[in-house]
Amino acid sequence: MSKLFRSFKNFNRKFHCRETQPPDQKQGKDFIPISNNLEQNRLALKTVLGDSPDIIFRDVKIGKSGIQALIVYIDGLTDTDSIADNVLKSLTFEARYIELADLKQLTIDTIKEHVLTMSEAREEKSFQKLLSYILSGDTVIFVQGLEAAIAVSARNGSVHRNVSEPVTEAVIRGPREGFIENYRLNTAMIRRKLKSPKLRYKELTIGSITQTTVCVAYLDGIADKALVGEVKERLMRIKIDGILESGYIEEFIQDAPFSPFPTVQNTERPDVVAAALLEGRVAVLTDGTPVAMLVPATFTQFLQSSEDYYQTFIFASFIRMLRFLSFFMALFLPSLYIAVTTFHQEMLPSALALSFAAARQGVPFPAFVEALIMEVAFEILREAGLRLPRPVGQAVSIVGALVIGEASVRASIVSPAMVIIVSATAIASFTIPGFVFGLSVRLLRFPIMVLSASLGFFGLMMGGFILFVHMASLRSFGVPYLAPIAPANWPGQQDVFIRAPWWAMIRRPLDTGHQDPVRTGRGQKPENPQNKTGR
Amino acid sequence: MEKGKISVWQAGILTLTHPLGTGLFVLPAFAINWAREDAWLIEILVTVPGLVIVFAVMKLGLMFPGQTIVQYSETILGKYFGKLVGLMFVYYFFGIGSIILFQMSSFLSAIVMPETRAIYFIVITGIVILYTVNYGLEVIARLTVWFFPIIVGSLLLIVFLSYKDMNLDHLRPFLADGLKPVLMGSLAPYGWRGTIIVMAMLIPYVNQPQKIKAPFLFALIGMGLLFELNTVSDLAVFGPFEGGRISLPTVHLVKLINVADFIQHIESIMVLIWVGAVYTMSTVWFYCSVLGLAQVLNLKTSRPLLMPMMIVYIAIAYTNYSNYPEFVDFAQRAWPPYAFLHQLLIPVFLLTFAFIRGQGVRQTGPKGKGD
Repeated sequence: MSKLFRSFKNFNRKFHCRETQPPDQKQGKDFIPISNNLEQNRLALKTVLGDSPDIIFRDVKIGKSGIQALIVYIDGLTDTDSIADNVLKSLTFEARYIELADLKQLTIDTIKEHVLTMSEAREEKSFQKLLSYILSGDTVIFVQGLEAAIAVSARNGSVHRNVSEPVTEAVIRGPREGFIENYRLNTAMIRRKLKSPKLRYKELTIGSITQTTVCVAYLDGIADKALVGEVKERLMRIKIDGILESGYIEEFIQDAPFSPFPTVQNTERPDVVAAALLEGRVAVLTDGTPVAMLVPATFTQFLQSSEDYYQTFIFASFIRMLRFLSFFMALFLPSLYIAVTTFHQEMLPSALALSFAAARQGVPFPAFVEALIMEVAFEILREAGLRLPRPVGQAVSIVGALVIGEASVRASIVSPAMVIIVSATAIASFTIPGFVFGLSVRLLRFPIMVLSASLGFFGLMMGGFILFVHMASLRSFGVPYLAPIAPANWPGQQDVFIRAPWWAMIRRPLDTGHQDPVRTGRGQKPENPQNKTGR
Repeated sequence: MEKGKISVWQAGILTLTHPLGTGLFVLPAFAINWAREDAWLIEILVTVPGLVIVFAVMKLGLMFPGQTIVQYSETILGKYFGKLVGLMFVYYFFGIGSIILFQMSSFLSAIVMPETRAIYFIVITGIVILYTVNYGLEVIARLTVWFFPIIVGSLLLIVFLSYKDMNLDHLRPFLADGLKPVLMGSLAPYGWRGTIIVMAMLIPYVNQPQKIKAPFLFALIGMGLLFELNTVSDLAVFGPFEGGRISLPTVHLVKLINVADFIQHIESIMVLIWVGAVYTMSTVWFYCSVLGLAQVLNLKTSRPLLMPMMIVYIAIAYTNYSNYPEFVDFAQRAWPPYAFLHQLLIPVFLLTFAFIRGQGVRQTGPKGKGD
């Protein structure tokens, strides 16, 4: 950024007549005013932008007056139809209806107010500002003899994909819309769900070259001001040339960079963002990616799906508990199998122990090596299926199922019991709604397997302790990672292992929503009307 | 030094949970061995000195706000005697903590993995303890609070599943041999009940020390109830003679469990869960000793002490006792005076001394009186 400005300054010294106007006090010291000479402006722009062919310079004469104007925009970023209709046509034809006398004293205001038929037009004197407007797709009109220019916003809105259901977060019941790459539409999707003056967006620009818009969204009065300030401060600290995806930002703002556990939640769903904002959390939207980030993110949130809140609470609670179970299965099941078959055979009922032993008959490896082979093979398969084009991906899964599931058992390389364990683990890990969290579970399975292969249940338990202590020590933007499980708080339990019915979830989560704790009116439990009146 | 704050109930549950691990294993054998069919009286009896220590520690904690027992003993007794008492407590926490670590390794090598040498258990647990203490009191409290329902649940499950083997006639006759065996038998169990002394190190880090009374009493009574339940079920199943002979009666109780030929031989799991509790106990005591030593030496941070102290801790745990019976001998004969000194006499003495010399913040009494 600063390099670019230095070149401006040098350039400015050569071409620009400095004495025209003292720079505005407000604009800061990097302020470079534009010239009142059209040709100088054109030259300046061409020097800075390097004469790229996609930058269009269009000369027009305003009305009958013959005053020259220069329209600059970037082809492709700008809606050329709209420019032709509302700028070119207005400047050339419709300006004729204005009295000549007015045109002689043509000002930016007259153009803005009488000529242009665009909804958004801004007057601007700073060269840098105008340059950044052009680069982000606005159209800038320079007028001969005026020391200001007009930036009109006619960005090409049609170049984005349609709103579709997010692939990673599918639901049975719930809205089918997901974020898209266009950031402005994403904010609109959230605004459509939260029609409240409390919804605030604060924009920042990060990335010296990409100039990516990053937006902090929160509900004023519900989100903790300190939290919002902290998020903004962490975002402002980022100094990088480019932000192409929110993952870039995530690695800068997360609390525990070396932890396998994510402390920032990702989502593609506007309803998830809206729900998080209602809980007093803060969302960070990034231009150019459909993935929004939510902070603070705690352990329990990665095991919650948006659908939990749309389904009946009894069913949702059942699913919740199932998810906790499958979280533990995905993390510990292979290790448990290794520990039991290697160290603690006496724990199994005799019949089961016998059938395990029979299944392992002829397998040349110890259970740990067997498990390692299978787990690694499965991870490779999963990755292969993910990267390949969809039709080929299916072939991979068939090959994987046949080769790994069937042939390797026939060849006595692995035992059938191990195939069951590995596939059960895999299926369990698929039930974790937070994809990033699933990744960390996949990763952590291996060290725990090593521990339990060397020390049996004791190693497994020590691995579990280290994991628990690590998670209990983490914080995400000041909120303990395991809250409300540890430190345990009673009101928080309404939304952890069970999902309480909406009429019973009176309060927002304590850690984030303490500014405005009550969210549901009391006494709304549906009752039989006869009981209510007659008694 | 410690920067985190824990809530009063976290502190209460920590105090209640941490001695359960070793207590559930060891205590019934001690109690039944001494008092035979009156073993169930012991836990009721030790509540009396328990109440005294609770009162003393709570009063001292409120009289010297923001100070641990190591710090206020220096305020009360002056620099040299105070530091001596502080060091005594540091050594007490340190020594008993490492004995707890030894107990854990001996449970494991006795019941779960007889072929693995104890040093592996000790060193690995030592490393995990180091890792835990590194994160400070908040994490330790969260850990123990999570152990509380697990241990209580497992105990209740055991009692429920072994109910069919119980014979409550084993609890009679009442005081057939007089009161003396019961009194003698309650000396060692007081060692466990008196672990409430760790609260003397933790009160300054509790967010509302003035509300400590209820969790404190909850810890005292709750601990008593759980030990009582454990002792009574062991006594009722094994009887006064066999129950005294077995060194770990609760483990044998678990071995008897068999539900539909499917839930059987669960002693490995149960032992491991309780061994986990022993690990939390050793963590708490190691934490207290590190914190105490840092305060005796007036250090700004206790972090540099962690590593060297853990090395000594592991060494003591490994070399102090050559086998489990040696530990049992220590716990029954040497520990009671040691425990009574640190867990009853010194705090009461400190309280009396402070009261006589008129030190500390005085409260005007219960809420009604002053403002």
